[in-house]
Amino acid sequence: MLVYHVARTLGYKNRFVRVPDGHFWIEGDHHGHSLDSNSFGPVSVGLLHGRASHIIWPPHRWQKIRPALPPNRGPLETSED
Amino acid sequence: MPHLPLPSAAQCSTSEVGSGHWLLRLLLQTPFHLGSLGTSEISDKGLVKMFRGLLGKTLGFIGYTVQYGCIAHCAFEYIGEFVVCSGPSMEPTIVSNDIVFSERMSRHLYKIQKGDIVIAKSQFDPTMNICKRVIGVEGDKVSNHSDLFTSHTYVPKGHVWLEGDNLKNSTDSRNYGPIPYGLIRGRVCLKLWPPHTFGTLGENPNKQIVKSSIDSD
Repeated sequence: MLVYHVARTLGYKNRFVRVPDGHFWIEGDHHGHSLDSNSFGPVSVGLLHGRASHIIWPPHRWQKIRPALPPNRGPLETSED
Repeated sequence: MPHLPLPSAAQCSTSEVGSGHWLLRLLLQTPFHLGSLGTSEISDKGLVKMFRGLLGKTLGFIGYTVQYGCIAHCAFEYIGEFVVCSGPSMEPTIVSNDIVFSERMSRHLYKIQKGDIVIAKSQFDPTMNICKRVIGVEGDKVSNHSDLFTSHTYVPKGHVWLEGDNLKNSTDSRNYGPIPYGLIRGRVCLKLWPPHTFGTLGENPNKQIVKSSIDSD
């Protein structure tokens, strides 16, 4: 089963990027002040270290981090053969 | 004969106990003689003790298993692991169904060098591993021979250039580019099977022209 996403980039060398097999396209929420895939391209899944699930400090920011895409950053094309 | 009353629960049903022999009475009170006693209270106590002993042994066994699991995990993560190789891309150095030992310390200490054979996670399928030789580290200029012309690539920071020893039959960095250092799992240091080729692995059989970043142009 071939799954791929096409992402619109912000400041990358190409306007549209087809994310290769076994890779992620990662972005910081504060784009413009973030070193992410827009600078260094897609990231291999094997490099994944972990997933941020909760904020535990400072105490007034205790929360569960929910996976959510920013409104206009969804993939343009997601194809499953 | 005086009939001495037995303390608390040690009430026996047979009338022979009433003869007063103190030793017999003592023996009957202890829970070791489960089978010979007629009362249910003593046998209950003995059963509980037996159950507790069994539970203790089971917990001890589980404890040993957890300890063994933790030590084994640390050994595989930080010391080394055994790897079975398959495929023709590293012939003649490593052939299919060879068993090699790869050590993890040099990867954690960032001591992987040019010429090492490494096991790395595949870039496109993180569940698969690949076994290739490091031809260039970051900053090196790797020449890419093709039939008609030669091109050069600079290995970017934080990446390595891998090539198999069997250049004609290997998909490696010549096809998919340099791979990040973080995908390397360990360095192959010893071949264990088959026994007639036991020992450390040889040098690169191919002549690679790689200019290091410290070499003068």
